[in-house]
Amino acid sequence: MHELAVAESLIKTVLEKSADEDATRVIRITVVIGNLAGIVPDSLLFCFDEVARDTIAKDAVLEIETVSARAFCHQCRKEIEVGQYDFSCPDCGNIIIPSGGRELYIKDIEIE
Amino acid sequence: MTRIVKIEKKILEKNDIVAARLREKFKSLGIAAINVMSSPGAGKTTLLANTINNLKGRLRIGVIAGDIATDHDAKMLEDAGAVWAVQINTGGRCHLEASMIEEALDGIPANVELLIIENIGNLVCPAGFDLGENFNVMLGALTEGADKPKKYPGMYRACSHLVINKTDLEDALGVTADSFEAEALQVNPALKIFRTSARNSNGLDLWCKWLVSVADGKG
Repeated sequence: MHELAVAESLIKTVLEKSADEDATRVIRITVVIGNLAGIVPDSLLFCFDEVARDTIAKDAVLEIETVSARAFCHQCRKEIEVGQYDFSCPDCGNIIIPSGGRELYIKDIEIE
Repeated sequence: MTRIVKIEKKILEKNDIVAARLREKFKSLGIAAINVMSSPGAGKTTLLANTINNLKGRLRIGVIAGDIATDHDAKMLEDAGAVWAVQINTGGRCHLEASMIEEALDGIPANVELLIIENIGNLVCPAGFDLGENFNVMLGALTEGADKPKKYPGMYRACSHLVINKTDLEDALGVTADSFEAEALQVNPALKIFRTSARNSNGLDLWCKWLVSVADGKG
């Protein structure tokens, strides 16, 4: 359940930024999460509700944009999308080395 | 009026900042650090105790042991010959964070050459938190079954080195180190692999040799 630690870090940054901007309410938060970042979106949403309680972000919608890792298959000579539990090229079975997919950042917030 | 404000910041940026500070500190103190991760019961503490004992007189090893509760591990590793051992009790947290390491480092003697961070036994969460280490090491035990690398790929991808432990139990388990290694390499082809039996110290020499090279800055 490291999503709780992630949610705590997320709300901290959001509240700091909102205070800088003199916001009275946070309406939406958009985060980008790679599919190999080890974060379960449902779990993050659940934890976010807990940590946002009693803050100006308590009614905020947490939008999660997921991005997939990619890999280049040297046998097929093409780029492929890598799922969380993909370890080989779906076409030729060659072992692949994923790049990306570990993104975990806050893109923007909508405030009032 | 509502407005959109760009942030474009890593969520775990604060952890990364502390980890970068730790990396600098380790460098200035001349300490190499490894972060050892595994499931509970894979044999981390037994392996580390035998490792420390094996390297006694050759390498001054300090230890930070993470556990939900108890100080068994730090005591055991100090008894094994660690020159410094500190226990972190997370009280429920499932992983160590850089700030916990920074706090625990107070009072580390200047003569420590290698710092071993024994993370919380968990195959998911510790992978996401940089602790300023030079190397992430995964310890997998044959008792877990050879399917674990594919079931918990995040962990195996986050590590550069893998120790396959409990190799003495191959026959009893019907699981071979070869099959475990093959599965792990499918998840992370770059893994460098050691095979050990922490209980009877088989395979410890190559592992210890690597640790000495890590402390020399050549790992």
